[in-house]
Amino acid sequence: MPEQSSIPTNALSRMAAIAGAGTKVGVNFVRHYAQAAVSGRLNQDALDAANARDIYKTLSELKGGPLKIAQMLSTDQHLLPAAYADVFSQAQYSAPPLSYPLVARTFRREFGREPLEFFDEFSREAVAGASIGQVHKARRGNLCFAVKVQYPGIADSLRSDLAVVKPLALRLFGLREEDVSDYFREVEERLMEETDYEHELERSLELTGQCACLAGVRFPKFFREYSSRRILTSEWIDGVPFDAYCDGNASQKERDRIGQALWDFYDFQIHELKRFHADPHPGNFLVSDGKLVPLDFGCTKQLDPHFHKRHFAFLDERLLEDDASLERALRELRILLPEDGSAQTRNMLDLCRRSIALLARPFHEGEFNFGDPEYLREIRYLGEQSEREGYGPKMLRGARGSAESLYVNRAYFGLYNLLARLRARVMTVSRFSVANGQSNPVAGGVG
Amino acid sequence: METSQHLRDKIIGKVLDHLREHGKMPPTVYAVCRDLQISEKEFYQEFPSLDAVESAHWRNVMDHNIRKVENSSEWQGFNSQQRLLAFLYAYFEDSLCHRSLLLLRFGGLNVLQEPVSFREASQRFLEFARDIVKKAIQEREIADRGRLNDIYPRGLLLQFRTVLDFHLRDTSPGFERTDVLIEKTTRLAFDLMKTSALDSAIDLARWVMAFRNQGAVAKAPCGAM
Repeated sequence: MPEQSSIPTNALSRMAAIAGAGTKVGVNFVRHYAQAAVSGRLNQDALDAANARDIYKTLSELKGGPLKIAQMLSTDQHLLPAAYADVFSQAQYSAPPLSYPLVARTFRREFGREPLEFFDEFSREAVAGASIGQVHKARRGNLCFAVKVQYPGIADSLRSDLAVVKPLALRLFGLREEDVSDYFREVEERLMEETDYEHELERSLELTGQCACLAGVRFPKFFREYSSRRILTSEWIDGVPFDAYCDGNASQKERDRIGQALWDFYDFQIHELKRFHADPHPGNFLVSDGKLVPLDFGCTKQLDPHFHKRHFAFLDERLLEDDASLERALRELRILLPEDGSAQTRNMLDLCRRSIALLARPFHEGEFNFGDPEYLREIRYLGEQSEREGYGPKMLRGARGSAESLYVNRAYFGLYNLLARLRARVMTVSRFSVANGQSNPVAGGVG
Repeated sequence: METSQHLRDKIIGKVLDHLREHGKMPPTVYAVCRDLQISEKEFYQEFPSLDAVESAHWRNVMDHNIRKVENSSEWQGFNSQQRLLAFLYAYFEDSLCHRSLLLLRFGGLNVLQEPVSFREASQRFLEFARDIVKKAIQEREIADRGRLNDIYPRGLLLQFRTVLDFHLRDTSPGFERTDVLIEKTTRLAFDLMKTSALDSAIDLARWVMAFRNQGAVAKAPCGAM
């Protein structure tokens, strides 16, 4: 029984289960994630191509808010095909930056003072784009700051944009609204949270404080006195952007070390803190002096302990060998529904078992090489296969799985993707206890 | 003996107080003078009419904001686009101090219809806009269109009035949407001024006008052809 198999090492199985069961969301994102990783391109056969192109065009023309939403929905490369997600993230940088007078105006509104009344220097131009704002570099004395300024009225427009994008996204993936309304609610909630920098500041202070014990990860300091609802100020850290680091000439040993830091960072958050940085996008990380630097804590997600326990129970290999237990676990997570017929149930059980085994493989092996393209190819093949067998998003009806899983999945897919880019080999053994309050480290491969 | 400026300020203050409180102009110059304990002669030495008092007020507001940004420490480092933006943000930030009066006098007006009481303020804005445009042409931020350059300041005035009109209807928290509109319309204005899009628009307009004139001629008995 899932509750008793107290050795849940990690989250993959939940997303594996979803993917395997062919939930609307799941299959798409597994397949596209895998395709992106393998070829960086969308396989047009796999999608309703013409339809998708149309909708993509519409989305990309909207820019700004819809872009952010598309990125959220894509859960960086999962819900939306990777090729689209790539274009979206490029488009983001072409969104026109805020003018300096507007940045100064925002300072006056938030603090009653101009930027130069706080800082000795303040860059007129943005040094980086953030999805709903932009970053300026500032200096006071010897300290450098990254000052993130939010676009005015963004919360407003995100909400209306979501209303625009939602029907498009539904069409793009052939989903039914009632089946995925939980997911959309979740996305909207998190989006609104991201527009509140005061909330982000609290989360950042909390999470960086709690994670301070992690070797290999360095966190920027955050400054309450220079932050408000619309402005968030943190320490400026010089470093190499994650993508550039991956493409650079770092040695395998260095890559493994950064990869391990990344793995431990997530492992600790998800299993120990049960609140995590839910946006593992390359743009949110730097590498500085051999340490990983996470930058943006706008999107964090709290996990309900019951959900956590059920979700990670899938990592127990024994579960895969016992039909009755597996079926029960899938029913508890509402991946299998009472109205499913017996043949369908059997097929889905089989598919779930295969995908869980595949996606949980890194955990079972204890040490895993994410640089192995063969692994990602296998994931891709599984996604396509489930589609062929009629478990694609258009075939299965009913709201399956839970919205909570969206961000766990997002985090893990993002993590896999980052590790694959790094071509890192990491110890996947969870160092943190996951269930039943056990405190000793648990091996990834159980049984 | 009061200085002229001091007296002007007193008259403006009194007339506007009345306007704010009662929602209309004081009934007569006499009433204003009585309240201020000045003679009508003193009033008319400063203003030809009550309406002129209001015009002077709007001009003062405009002038005050232009001077404020022109004297700010960062002004010299700004390009023309940033200068225009800095002014617009300053103006609409400041407008919250007399929003009720703005709403009373200009709320719900057509953007293209200029209220008489705002004409002097517009003239002051045009002076400012001409300086902006001159600098922008000198520094090649926008295209030099020879005699057509005169339409730039007019265009910027139209932008200003559009923002004003929107601002008076804006109900977003902190009037954030006004900020967004200022940002977007200014970018558009400068994009139009720097590219050939404006030339194309003028070309089209001229063609339409010529066509219209021709049409008028064609109706005559010995028309074209």
